[in-house]
Amino acid sequence: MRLLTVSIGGLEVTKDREVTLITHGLGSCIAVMTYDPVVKAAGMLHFQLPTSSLSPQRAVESPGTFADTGIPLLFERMYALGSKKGNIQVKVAGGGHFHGEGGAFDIGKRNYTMMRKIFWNAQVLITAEDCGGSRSRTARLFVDTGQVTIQSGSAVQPL
Amino acid sequence: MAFDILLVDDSPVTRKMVRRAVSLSGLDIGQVLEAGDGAEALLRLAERRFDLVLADINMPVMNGMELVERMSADPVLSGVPVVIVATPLSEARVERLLDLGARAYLPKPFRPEALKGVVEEILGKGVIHA
Amino acid sequence: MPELTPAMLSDILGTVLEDTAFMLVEPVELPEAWVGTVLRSTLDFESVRSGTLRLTVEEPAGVELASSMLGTDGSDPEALQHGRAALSEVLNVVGGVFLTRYFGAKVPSQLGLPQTEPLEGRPPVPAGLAAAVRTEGGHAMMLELELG
Repeated sequence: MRLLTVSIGGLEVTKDREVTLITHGLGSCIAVMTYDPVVKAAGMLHFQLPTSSLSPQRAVESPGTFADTGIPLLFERMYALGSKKGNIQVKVAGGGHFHGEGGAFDIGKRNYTMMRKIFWNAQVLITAEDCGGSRSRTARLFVDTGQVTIQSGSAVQPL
Repeated sequence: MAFDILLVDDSPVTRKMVRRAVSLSGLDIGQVLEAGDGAEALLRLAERRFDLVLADINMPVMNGMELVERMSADPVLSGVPVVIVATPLSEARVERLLDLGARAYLPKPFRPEALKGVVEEILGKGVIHA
Repeated sequence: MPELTPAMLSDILGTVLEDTAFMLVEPVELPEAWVGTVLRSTLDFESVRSGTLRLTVEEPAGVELASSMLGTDGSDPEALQHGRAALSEVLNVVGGVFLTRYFGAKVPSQLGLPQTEPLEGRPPVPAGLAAAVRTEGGHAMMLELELG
């Protein structure tokens, strides 16, 4: 078993069943985890910001930074591994708030909203989520089983 | 077995959103018909059988509370499950609706995944739509 | 009851727009000028206190709203057709969120039906509490509260 770390703004897809995809420090960022149980392909995106419109150059250099460029790219990479959209399970984690009350204009909430907008437009439903609150999270996706766990502090829970 | 569903809401935009969320549920959905208020819903319910009614509360002509009351008093319609999808209500109104026989209450804004979960639970997993 | 402030109104409006329509908006100062056709949706309510909520928007914001709710783009004929309905529905949800947030879920409350019409002339200066946001398309939306 080997760990494949997804950095902030990073994106990885794989069919290697020895791999566990992992990403740390999910504060206001969101991890989008995809798994196709038919072809056993897995993917993980760790995006930081909702939209790329104000940073088109950065979107080219690091598309995984933004929900609106990262999520479509994640799905394209899954399709390149032979996945079909209808088979892909989607789990998400993060989107927390760490200042104030976490209301409408909080970056974590805005990340969550943009992510849901993208999935709504694409007619994709989220299978499971662990979002919001003020916990920092670490997400793991085990490629051999498709299982996802979310860790906050020392507590690890399946998603 | 395909499930036939009646959507009752005076907002055509909300009816479309609910229709889309239902279509993503993975259940075998048959016909999805719409009504703009409780009175129109009763007309549709008199014409044919539905497996589920998804109804708003705040509507003209006849609101959702009265629709649930009428359905619960009818020997045939009382067997049709009703899920209320409505803007946040007071606890007393939610209790009243559930006492009248509404199977569930989903506050707006609703997550499509939450609506899917409620619909699947009430209709059972059924035949998965390919 | 919580303190009534413009920030509370903008948070309610922003939250409803995010959760109902997946729209990202920014809080802004109350608009001094409105561009083009302006729509206003009005909703009366009764609770411990009665009052009125009003949502005023530049018409393209209504189209933006409808297209976002329907998951289409703004040129889609359905979005163009349903701008006013989308506005009414957003105010309907704002009303419910406001009542439970301000008066509490244990208090019996009643919402009227939202009425949406184009405004003749410029929107009057708000008589009560008001807050504004701007959509990604750059259009203004203003939420007002008048408590009896």
